[in-house]
Amino acid sequence: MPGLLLAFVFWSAVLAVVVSQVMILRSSARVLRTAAHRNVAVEWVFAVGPALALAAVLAFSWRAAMRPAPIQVDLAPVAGQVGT
Amino acid sequence: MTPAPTAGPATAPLAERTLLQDLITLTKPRIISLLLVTTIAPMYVAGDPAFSTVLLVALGGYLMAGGANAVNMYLDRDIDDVMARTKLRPIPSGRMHARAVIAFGVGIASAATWMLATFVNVLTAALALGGFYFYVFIYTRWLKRSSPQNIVIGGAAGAFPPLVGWAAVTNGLDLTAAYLFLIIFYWTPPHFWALALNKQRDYGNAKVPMAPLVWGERETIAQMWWYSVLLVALTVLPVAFGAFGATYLILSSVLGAILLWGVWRVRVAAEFSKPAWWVYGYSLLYLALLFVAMVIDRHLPVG
Repeated sequence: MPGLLLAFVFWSAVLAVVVSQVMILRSSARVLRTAAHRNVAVEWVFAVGPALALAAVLAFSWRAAMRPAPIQVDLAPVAGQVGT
Repeated sequence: MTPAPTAGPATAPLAERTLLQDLITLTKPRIISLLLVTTIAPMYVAGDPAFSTVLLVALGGYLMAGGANAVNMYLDRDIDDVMARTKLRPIPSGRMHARAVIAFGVGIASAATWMLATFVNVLTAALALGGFYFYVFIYTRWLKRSSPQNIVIGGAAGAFPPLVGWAAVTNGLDLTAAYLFLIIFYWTPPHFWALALNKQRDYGNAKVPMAPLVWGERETIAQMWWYSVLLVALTVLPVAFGAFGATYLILSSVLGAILLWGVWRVRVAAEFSKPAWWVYGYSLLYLALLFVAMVIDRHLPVG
């Protein structure tokens, strides 16, 4: 696939992931302020933990996506140089 | 090992049920069928496994997940008794003794661990056992009755199968495997909240703090939407670093667009019951087809 398309897929998906995760955290903050929870600190860990793990995976993905493709070296023997 | 919503096949009349049928019910075979898809498909994404390896992983995976489900039925026997959809299970209906159920669950999970470690590899067995422990202790024993985010964090239990399948072929894990884990992790909340929205009375009777009961319906539906957007975005990210190609990008985008349309209908509907049931059913199909799309892409690439 063309590099431009891959870059578009990557950055548009990252944008959607970040926006969604922020909205989930905002919603969690709202419900943690209003609804009764047994342990608010633990609920915060449950909300933030996956977001941090996701950020780490996105960082690894960025590294993997930016890695240059391996250079193809033609190792076919040149005529006259092999078997002499 | 996904938090399980249904009781397994209850087709035979109660009086005619045999011990074998009850043992099969304890393993929740309908749930496991999806787990097996998410175990076996990654094997064909990771490489070209021998058929015997696939069979061993499928059998080991069934026994491990079945064991976890049986132990779950033992631990949840008190709330199964008060929920309409679970009170016909073998323990609450009095057809099986609780101790026999836990012995069965632990027994088949132990057999699975031995089988996977001996005939596949130790990493595969360790990951499968990790899924068992996570489901039994983290989800069932701790989170299910204490947190409205029970199925968010508990969803990790159902996300172990692709790691098991991947490890069975490569004897390792990598970034693509991490994505398969995350896809199931983020698929779980919209899937189970679609069920929970329609089963609030049941969960309320059993005092299980599902999100719609604690947060309210609107907030739960809003989170369902954002989890679905996040999920669909996650499914296309592996394309960017070359894990999958154009075939998968097209198929996953179409499947994801249908999921988003379904969840959006729940969000805007005046009466959410029907669209939520639709999302619950479609999300099962979505996950299975998404994993099939990965295999198709690896073996029938286009472009």
